[in-house]
Order: sequence, then C-alpha cells, then structure tokens
Amino acid sequence: MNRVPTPDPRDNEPLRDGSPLMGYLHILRKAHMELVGRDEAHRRFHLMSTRGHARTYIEELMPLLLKERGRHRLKRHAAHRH
Amino acid sequence: MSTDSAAVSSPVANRIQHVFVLMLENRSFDHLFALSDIPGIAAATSSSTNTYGGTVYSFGDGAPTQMPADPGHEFTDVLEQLCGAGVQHQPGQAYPPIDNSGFVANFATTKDEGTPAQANEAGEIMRGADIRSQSPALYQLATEFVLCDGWHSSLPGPTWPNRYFVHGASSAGLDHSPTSAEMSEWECVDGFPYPKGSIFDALGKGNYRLYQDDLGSALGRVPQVASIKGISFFDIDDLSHFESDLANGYTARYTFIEPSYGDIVHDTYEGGSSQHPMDGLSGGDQLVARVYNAIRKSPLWENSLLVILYDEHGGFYDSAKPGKAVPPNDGADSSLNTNGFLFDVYGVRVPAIVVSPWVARGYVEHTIYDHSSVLATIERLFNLPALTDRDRHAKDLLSLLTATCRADCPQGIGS
Repeated sequence: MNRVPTPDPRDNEPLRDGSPLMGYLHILRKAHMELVGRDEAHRRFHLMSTRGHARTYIEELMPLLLKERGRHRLKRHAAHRH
Repeated sequence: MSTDSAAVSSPVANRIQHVFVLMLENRSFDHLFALSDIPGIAAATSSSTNTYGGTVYSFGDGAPTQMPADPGHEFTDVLEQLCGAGVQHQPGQAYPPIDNSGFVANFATTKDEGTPAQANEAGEIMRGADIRSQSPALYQLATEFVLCDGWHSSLPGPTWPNRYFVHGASSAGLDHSPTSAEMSEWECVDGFPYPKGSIFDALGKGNYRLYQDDLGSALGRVPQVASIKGISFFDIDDLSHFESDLANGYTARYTFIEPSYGDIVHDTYEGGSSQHPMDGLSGGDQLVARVYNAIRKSPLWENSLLVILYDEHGGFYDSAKPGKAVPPNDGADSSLNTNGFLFDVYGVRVPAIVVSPWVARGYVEHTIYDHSSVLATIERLFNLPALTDRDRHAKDLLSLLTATCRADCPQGIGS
C-alpha cells in the first residue's frame, strides 16, 4: 500500500447514499465478491456505516485485491505467450 | 531508418492502429484554457458574466489552486448553471433554453462535498486557471498537437453517467450519481448493463487494455470502469506496467486509462491524479506527461492516437452553450432516469487534446464532439458497428489525421 492519510475528524460522519464514495465502495464490493463470494462480501460490506469504516474497508481490501490483480495479470500474459 | 521522418500518405487504418484515452475529472474548457492565449480558441472573456444577488461576476483569472468546496454538478445543479436559477426541467420534456447564467448562483447555494462556498467566494467559479504554470505538460500538448474547443460532456450531469457514455455511447438512462440500490441491482447482472453492450464487448477480450494510475493515495485506486458489466477490477493493470507493456508486443487496439482519485473517503480527492477541483492540477499534469512519454518512447508511437479529455465540467463556468444531442435510443428503460431527461442536449464543454504524430501542430479544432466521438473513432477505424444512435451520429477524430507523419513531436514532456 502507498501512503494513507492520518485519522480525520470526518471519519465519524455517516456514509451518504448516492455519493461518489458509495459508488467506489460498491465497485470494491463487486471485486470482493469475485474473491470470497457474494455472502461474505456483503457481510463485510454491511459492517460499514461511517467514513472511518469505509477507510478501514479500503485499507483491508486493497492489498488482497491488488495481489489478485497481479495474479490475473500473470495469467493473461501466460495465455498471450501461448 | 527512423520512420519518424517518414512523409508518406497511407490509409487511415495503417496510420492509427492503437487508440489511447486518458480521462481526467471535472474541469470546463474555459476554466482551463480560456486564459491560455492559444490563438483561435472560442473562449470566455471578461465580458462573459453571471449575475447573482445583484452583483455581476465577470470571467477572469485567479482560480484557486484547490477549490474550497466541490462545485455542484448533479443534474439539477447543471440545470441551474446552464438555464439560470429557478428554471425547472419538466420530466419527459425538452431541456429548457440555455444561457449559461446560473454558475455563480449554483456555486453560492449548493455543494456536493466540502465546505459550502462563502458569499465572498461565489465568484471563484468564474475564474480560470493559468494553464501554462499550473498544468504545463497539458499546455504543451495542447500547443504541440490539436486542442478541441467544441468537445462537450455527453449529458448535463455528473461523473458516472458521463463516464458510462465514453464506454458505451449511453448511460442506459442514468442521469445522476447512482444509488446503493441501483448499484446492488447491477451487481446481480455482473455490473452496469448497457442495453447494446460496451465498446469492450464490441472489441472483445485481448483487443483492449485498461490501466489506472498507481501513484498517490492508495484510497483512490478504485477504477470506475470496473463497475460495468463484463469488466472486473482484476482486468485493470497498474500504470507502472504501461511503459514496459508498450515495449513488448502490445497488440491492444484500444486502451483506456484512469487517474487515481486520491482521498475518496473524505471527499478531498487529495493525493490523486484526476485533477479534481479539490485536489488541484499538479498530480494530473504529471500523469499526462507520464502517459505521453510512455507512448512517445514506445514502438507504437507512429501508429498511435492519444485523447486526453475530462468527464465533465465539475461545476466550473463555461461560455459555450451546449447544443442539441442525438439521444442514444438504445432501448434503455426509464428506471434510472430520475429526472426524465431525454438525452437531447450535450453537457457543458470540456477540454480535449488529440495527440498523434498524424495530427497538425498547434491546431485548434472547432467541431462539436462529445465522449461518443471516442467510440465513433474506434468503430470507424476498426470496422465495428455503432453501439447506439449517439455514436452513430457522432463526429469522429479521423478527419484530424494528416497525410504525413510528423518528425517534430516532443521527445518528452514534463519534469
């Protein structure tokens, strides 16, 4: 992971439906579903209610997702070579 | 022999075999380029005004490096910006008359995120950037290649539906930032569904590549394109691979590149490279240089076309009145069309720069384009059918191509 901002007083603010942040979180949930299945991805997603939770969610998921992205890249390249 | 010096006429398809698009965020054409002194552009002047609260605000210089608040750009915000305060859009009816009179009123009274604008800040929305000093790489490309001063976002609304237009010449009726319920429904069908498919469906796996900037805040590395059906988060590559990929047998016809969005959690977008108004221009300028330099140095350069554009205007003033647009007519149902918008008018004008050794140096193109013009270009270049009526009728960029390959393109830009 690259640098991550320090705690922010807005971390306690509730997530707002229809906001850009919620849109991005749904994109992450879609990716998480590919990794762990729908039920587990939804269970983890619904633990979020604040910006701080969202930040933790991203910090928690991103290393897993980026690692999987790396695996997909290797597979694509292997297929391309053959 | 360096083909850099080639001066031969060849069919369009031989000249351009790889199209690249870098889509940044939330800047109007006038905001970035009106004060550029680039000759021949149609741009705001000090006589371009908005009146709010009895005060006349003129377009001028001095745009803040970072905006104190995120100017509104949802459908109702843009309606006010384009048509004036108090004007209503009747669902299912034509868009009201446009006079670009409500940008200040909207900025003074609404906000998407951040601290609401103070009364003395209302005029900030009328201020242009000093593009030469604040985004020098972008300025250099605009003056070395083709700057389009008639490119409009595809609808008068926010990021998401406008980004969907660049991928599918439609937003499937979506005219607002999607809700959780809407996104949950899309999830059931593997993502945002286009009635007629996306350009990625049309091209097929292997013929396109997707990248996202991997620098800056880790929070912003969420690619919006991964929301659509058929595209996985895992299909996107980090931009750190871009240069080496281009050097090693790159076959993709189309490449779409997203910036990093910075701190999306707190809506500051800081540490990103999208040029979001609350983050500033420098990160995105470095991204522009990075993308150009990678393509320029690659074996693909002489067969490449790079388009740098902005998804929408981000609430910033622009003096050009958006004209009538062709609705996609793709059979989308009305469930996502909250405002009853007919998609019969373009959104606010945005900057677009076309970069290739096959375009003229320092040329200003006045043709009216929208994001569907990217698709029209790809489809006509690679013999694909149009996805919707919007791209079927869109102007493509092929008329900008010259008969000779330039030998005077900058070897590298940026620091």
